[in-house]
Amino acid sequence: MSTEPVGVGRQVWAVLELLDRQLVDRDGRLVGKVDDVEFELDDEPDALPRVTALLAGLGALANHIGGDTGAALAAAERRLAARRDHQPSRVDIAIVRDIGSAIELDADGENLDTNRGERWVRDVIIDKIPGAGHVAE
Amino acid sequence: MLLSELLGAQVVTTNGDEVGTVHDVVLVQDGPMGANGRAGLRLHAIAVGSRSLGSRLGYAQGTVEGPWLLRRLLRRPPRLVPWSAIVQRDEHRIVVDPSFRAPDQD
Repeated sequence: MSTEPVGVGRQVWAVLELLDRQLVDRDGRLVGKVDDVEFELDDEPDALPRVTALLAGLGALANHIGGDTGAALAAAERRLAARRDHQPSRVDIAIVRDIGSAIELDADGENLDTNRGERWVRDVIIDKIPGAGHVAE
Repeated sequence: MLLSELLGAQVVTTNGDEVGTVHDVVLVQDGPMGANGRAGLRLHAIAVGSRSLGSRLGYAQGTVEGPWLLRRLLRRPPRLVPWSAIVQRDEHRIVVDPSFRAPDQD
């Protein structure tokens, strides 16, 4: 049977090599996990779909903590996402630096959308605790 | 379009023959250069059939090499259907041209 080459560039199996992989920022901090991949379809008839973003459902803190507490945070993150019209955290493919055992991003994790769960905990819970924001004397 | 919209979809030919279900897709870094100076990833083919142990571990795709015994036992390559063969698609069903030629994975 005759065959055609898949393509001449690096080959990536999306499920095997992207889904459930940890996302790490430029400082090596975990910032989330890949839950889905977003494609853009061009109008041209023979155009191939282009990867535009990696989508992450859970915030970095849920991944860090794990266990019951992490699960509770993940649930809070999902409720937060629901308030935002079910939009998952989106990581533009342009900031992906390398795809390996983890997916390295050329960005500061603090500024990523995947970090919104951690920001929500800090802004809504921790900052409301008396004494928050003051260094202990 | 999302990857999750493709995974699990039933693939049939325009003749009505069942090909299998989508369990992975092949991306190739050969798209237009992005703002980061790297070529973009494009979806070239869908992998169709049951998701075997070999494909879960990466032997079927050739991304895992050793040990050789497992490689020999589990390296049964998945059936690839080029994206260009798709003639119709919805959330649960993908219709392909039966004359498609399986792309070479190497």
